[in-house]
Amino acid sequence: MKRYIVRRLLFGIVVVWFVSVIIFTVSRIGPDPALMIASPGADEAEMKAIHERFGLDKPWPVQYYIFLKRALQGDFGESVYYGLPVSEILVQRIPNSILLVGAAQLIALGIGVSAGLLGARRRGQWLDNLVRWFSLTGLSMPNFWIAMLMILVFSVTLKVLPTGGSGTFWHLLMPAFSLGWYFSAGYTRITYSSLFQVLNSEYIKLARVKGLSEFSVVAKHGLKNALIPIVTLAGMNLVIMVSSAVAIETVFSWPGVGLLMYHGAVYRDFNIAQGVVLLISVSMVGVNLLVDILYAYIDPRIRYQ
Amino acid sequence: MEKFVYFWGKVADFWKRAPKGPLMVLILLFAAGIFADFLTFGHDPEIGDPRQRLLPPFWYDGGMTKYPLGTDTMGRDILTRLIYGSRVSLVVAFAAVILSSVIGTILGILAGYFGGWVDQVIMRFTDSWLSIPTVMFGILLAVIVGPGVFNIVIIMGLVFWTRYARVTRGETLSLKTREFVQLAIVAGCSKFRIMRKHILPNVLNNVITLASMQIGVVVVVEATLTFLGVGVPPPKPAWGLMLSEGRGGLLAGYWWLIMFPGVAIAMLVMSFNLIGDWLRLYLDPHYRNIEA
Repeated sequence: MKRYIVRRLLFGIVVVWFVSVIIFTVSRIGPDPALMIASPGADEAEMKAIHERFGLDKPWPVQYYIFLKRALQGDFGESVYYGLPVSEILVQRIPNSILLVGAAQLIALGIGVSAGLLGARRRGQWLDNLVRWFSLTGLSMPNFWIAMLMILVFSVTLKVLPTGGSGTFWHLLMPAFSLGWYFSAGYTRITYSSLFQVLNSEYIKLARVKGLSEFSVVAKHGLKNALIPIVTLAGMNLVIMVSSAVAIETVFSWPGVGLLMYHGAVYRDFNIAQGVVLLISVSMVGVNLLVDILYAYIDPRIRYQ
Repeated sequence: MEKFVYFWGKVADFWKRAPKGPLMVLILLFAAGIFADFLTFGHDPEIGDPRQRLLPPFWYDGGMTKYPLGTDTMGRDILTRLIYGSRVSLVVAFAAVILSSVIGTILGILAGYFGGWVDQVIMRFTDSWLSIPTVMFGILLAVIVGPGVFNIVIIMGLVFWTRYARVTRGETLSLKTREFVQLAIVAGCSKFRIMRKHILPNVLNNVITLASMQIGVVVVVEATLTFLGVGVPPPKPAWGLMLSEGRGGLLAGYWWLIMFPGVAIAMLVMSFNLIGDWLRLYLDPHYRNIEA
């Protein structure tokens, strides 16, 4: 087990290093960021000053070395646009993202798991069909379109919810739902398939024979054992959601890291863009690592591959 | 002649088993894309009539049958832009899926066949690429290459190749141990000939399945990037662009600006998803002969 974890950790470090190289390279190619910062009609001297301030005058390998050294200490450089350290801006924005993603996750899990339960038990055919179409629809619609439709219905026509911004519970509802709907379909599918397997197993039959109530059979004995794949998917989705939220955050002007990254990329604020993407990618690697280790812990066969 | 009969027999079989609804939607959108010039009755998709701005659909007061689904803020016919938009969406979706599957398949076969450090480098690179979030990666790349239909195809190809690499690598690993590959090695085939003639045809089914399941996601991500202003540039008629242009009229209640392009995207993606789900079973030999 220890050997397996060490091996995985080494893989993880290599992957993170590759990620940093890819992101660094991608955010440096393209138009010169100094052009966006400089005042119109800036002369050579001003351009040179900007280049020196952000270290753009040095050759790429040197820039990468400085970037890596600082990133390891939690310093992602200075934002060109805000004039603040990127880490400081991130600290302000991350709670908003966590709030949005957490709420979306709750909605997705709520819809998805109950739909999966319904499907696995095959009760109420029409309800089951309705639920299946509901998740299929969620998979097919771009989330920012759902967001705009919700604004149209709840803000413009019914005038009950705010069109954007953040702060109260009511501000959170529409962004969270439009983000969560898409992900509910994945939970439906995985709950359905794992629960279906579990419910047909011997120990569930035993629980039934023992005369346990139907609720106790499904919720306590069934769902508990079907939970691992659901939790795994939820962990991975948590990170993916942050990235999927970009367009939704734009529609609702929700001050999360998605909006931050989008503005950073479009206005060539390269330190911001690369900081956010690096943070999310590294979290993704971390989650994958945890999942691998969790599975190896549960299933010893994986360890000895 | 026999080959001909065999081929059309296959096509007939495919048609008999395929889900008709989604297939009809796809055929309809294909036809709309191909014959856009004849279907739009002389409306121009990019130049509007400034006197006819923001007309509602024809069944509303003030709507005109000349503009069945209304007009946008620049007086362009929405139906016309929708029809031309299907061309853009389909071209981008298919081109991007083909590009990404080619990149992924080549890397996957190389990694699986050579093994050792080649495999390690390619797969760790793939893992890294896969951990960078799709939409954000797309935005970063789009800012570099700038907006454009051709550019968005390149971007989507670069973002989506990773899963193909993983799948083909796994498949190649198991194919490598099979007798027909071993015999080809003994017969003195070159490595590249084995990869091309013996491995590639056998991984193709999985690649097609994966492509059919990814194409819906590709359409959505393309629409998202275009919506964010880093994909297909104006004044091109793209659905994502229509949505971003309609966003301005949202609070004023011009619902038709965003309703129809969104419905079009959702219908296309749903058809792709349903066909993908079905194709996965159809191409899987275990299920092939079971009547669904």
